[in-house]
Amino acid sequence: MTRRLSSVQPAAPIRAAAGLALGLTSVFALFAGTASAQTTTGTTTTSSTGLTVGINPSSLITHTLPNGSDFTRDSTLNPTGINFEDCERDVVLNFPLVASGTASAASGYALYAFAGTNCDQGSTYVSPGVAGSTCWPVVNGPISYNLNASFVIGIRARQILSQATFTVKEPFTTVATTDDSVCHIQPTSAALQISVYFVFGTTMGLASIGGSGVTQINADLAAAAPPTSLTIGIGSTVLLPTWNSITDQDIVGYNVYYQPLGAPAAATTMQVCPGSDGSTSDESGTTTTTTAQSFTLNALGDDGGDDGGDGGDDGSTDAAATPTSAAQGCYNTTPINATPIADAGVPYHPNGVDCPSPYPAGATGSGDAGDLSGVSTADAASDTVDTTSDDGSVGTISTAASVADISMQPREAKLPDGSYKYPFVTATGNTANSATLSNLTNNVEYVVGVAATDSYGNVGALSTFNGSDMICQWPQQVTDFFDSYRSAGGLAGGSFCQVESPDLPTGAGGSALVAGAALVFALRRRRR
Amino acid sequence: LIRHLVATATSLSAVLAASAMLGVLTWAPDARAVDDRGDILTGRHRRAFESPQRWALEFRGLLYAPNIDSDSALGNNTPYKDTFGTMKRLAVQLEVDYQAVRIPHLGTLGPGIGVGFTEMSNNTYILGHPDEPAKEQTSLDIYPMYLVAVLRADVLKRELKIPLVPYVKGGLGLALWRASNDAGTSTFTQTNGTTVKGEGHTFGTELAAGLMFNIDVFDPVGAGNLDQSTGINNTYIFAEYYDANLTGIGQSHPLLVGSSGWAFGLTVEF
Repeated sequence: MTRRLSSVQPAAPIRAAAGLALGLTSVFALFAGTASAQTTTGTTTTSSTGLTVGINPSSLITHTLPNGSDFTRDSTLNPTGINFEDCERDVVLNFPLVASGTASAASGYALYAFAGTNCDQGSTYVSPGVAGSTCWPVVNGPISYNLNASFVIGIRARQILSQATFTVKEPFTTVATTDDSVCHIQPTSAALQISVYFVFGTTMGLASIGGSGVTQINADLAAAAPPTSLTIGIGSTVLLPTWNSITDQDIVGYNVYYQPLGAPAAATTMQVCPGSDGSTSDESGTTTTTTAQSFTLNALGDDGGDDGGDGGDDGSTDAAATPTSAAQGCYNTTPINATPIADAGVPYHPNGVDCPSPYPAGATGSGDAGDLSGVSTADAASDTVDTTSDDGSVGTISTAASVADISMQPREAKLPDGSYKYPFVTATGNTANSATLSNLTNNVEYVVGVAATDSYGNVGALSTFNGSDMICQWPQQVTDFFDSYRSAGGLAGGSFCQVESPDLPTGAGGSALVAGAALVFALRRRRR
Repeated sequence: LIRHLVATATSLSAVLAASAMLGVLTWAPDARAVDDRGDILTGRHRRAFESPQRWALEFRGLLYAPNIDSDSALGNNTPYKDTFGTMKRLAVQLEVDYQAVRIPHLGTLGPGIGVGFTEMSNNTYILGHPDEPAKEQTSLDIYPMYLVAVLRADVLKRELKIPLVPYVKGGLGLALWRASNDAGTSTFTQTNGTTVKGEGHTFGTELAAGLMFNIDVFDPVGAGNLDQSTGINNTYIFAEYYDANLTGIGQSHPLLVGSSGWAFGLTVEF
């Protein structure tokens, strides 16, 4: 029997109302001059026509997945920028714009979107495809807009990045959803800075500018270097990994991934239902209404098949995809929360031992193994296109490109109990060099890897250990002082207040202190 | 960290002792006679201003090594030494005395209460492999406390103008203790399957004798001003030998966390 635990897909009227409310809120905020905690900045240029267009200063550039689900990062992780995951998922950057002017002034002009340099210079503008061109269209043709009102333009990340490295910028070409080569154009750690222009022009040639606005998009597609010298210290029900931190100021922390090796769990099966696809237009450049989408996880009483559509094979326990409710796009999944196989005879290895990675073949060097449902990437053997569903979990993309694989932040891969499908702990700060993995099971083998995360949310390659990216280690029963004391014949212990002799009442120690304090105060009062 | 603190405390103790010695050697009664008015005949020794004196506050540092391994139940085993070694740890304490009675031509007498803390820690080792340390830490926290009677014989200072005050303390002691590891409070599973938590308390006696040196002699004017502005009558540094004989009075299975040794610190009377 299927029991739906939650549903967060709003009905169409509700979505419409929400969209209207969102729009009204934006307009109100625009005219009221209120600004949110983090605003998007841009520059607006007014020409003799009086037309203006630019970023709405009271709104944010947001990210949505191709299916409309919100994918905006935490405010601390450059949410308006593009990271590797954004590129691989080909997220839509939603630019909040506002255009003003008279209808007569706007007559004869259309609104276009370009990326590049000096795309608003009119007479010096060189058309794409011509030597000297510095701008490329990111939307094919004119953009629909609302004059004297706020509106949103959605532009795919890959379109923005598509010609960043071209010497001569070319006319508009749609980047195929199956082509992620543009996501590998930045082998260094320095972020790309790309200006996006919104220009009122008479034609795509932009010989005559009727007003323009520009904003800068930063893109960091490079993985952080792997931490080095990972060792896994042993404790009782804990493992204590340490590593050498990376001297890169862009690093904001480290994710320490761990999971037990062993047989898959038998019972924990979930049904995964993707959020309904929003009515966004991410390629045509038409006006969009963004509605937050999400997915639901439904507990199942029996073991189903698998999550539908593995964007990146998690390489572990998932079986074949079995749609259970095609209308809803729901699938059953068995997550990786393997039941450990106890091994009482585990040997002692101070720093752990090399062990096979549980992550997908070809994806070594990545920090998070898991599904990449919804990602339109089909350029590697381990990736299959999944345009049907998004189970919310994310994972490694293994590409045919030679660029080192970069894993992804598993921020949506949560189980019904709130835990992550692929558990990790976070060590904050670029100088962090240790973590504690607790509540583990003694004598069970755990595979552990650590990856750095940068200020854009990129998760770098895993640390290496003897050529592998994972270390296996076993929490083991250790002997602490109290063990030694009791084993040697000592009999003390129990609790702070326990009194083993009938001569003294429980809490005698505390009572003595209270009595002492009372004596002091009594004497003081008497003195007065 | 503990080693560092102990080293620092040792250095500080040396400095304090040296300072005390220097003070005694260089102390000149004539220099303080300018501001102090001594009256041998009446037994009074006053500054131009002297606020009432009822309390003493001690900031104490102790070198602490619990006598756990002396427990006869352990036989010849030495679990404390095996785990934490023989190095003494630094304990910090705060003591408050109420000087209830002034005994003419002797000093003050009254109750005092002290509370302190010390911790020792080291790596655990793999069960069955005592030569293979694990990374997990094991710690023993001790909170030594006592309720004592304190006699401070300040007659030398007050009547003979010698800035030394010997003192003795005696009373009851109590220590709370907790053994822990990275997972929290330690536990031990007994053969009957029950577990015992690694925490408890131990009663005993507390004895101490020490000597305070009045550092006001270095700046009598400043000391007078301090008294006038804050009510602090005297400031001392001290060295003391203490014996926290926490053997478990009335207890059948105490953890012998008592210690004896030297304590140093600062005392103010107000």
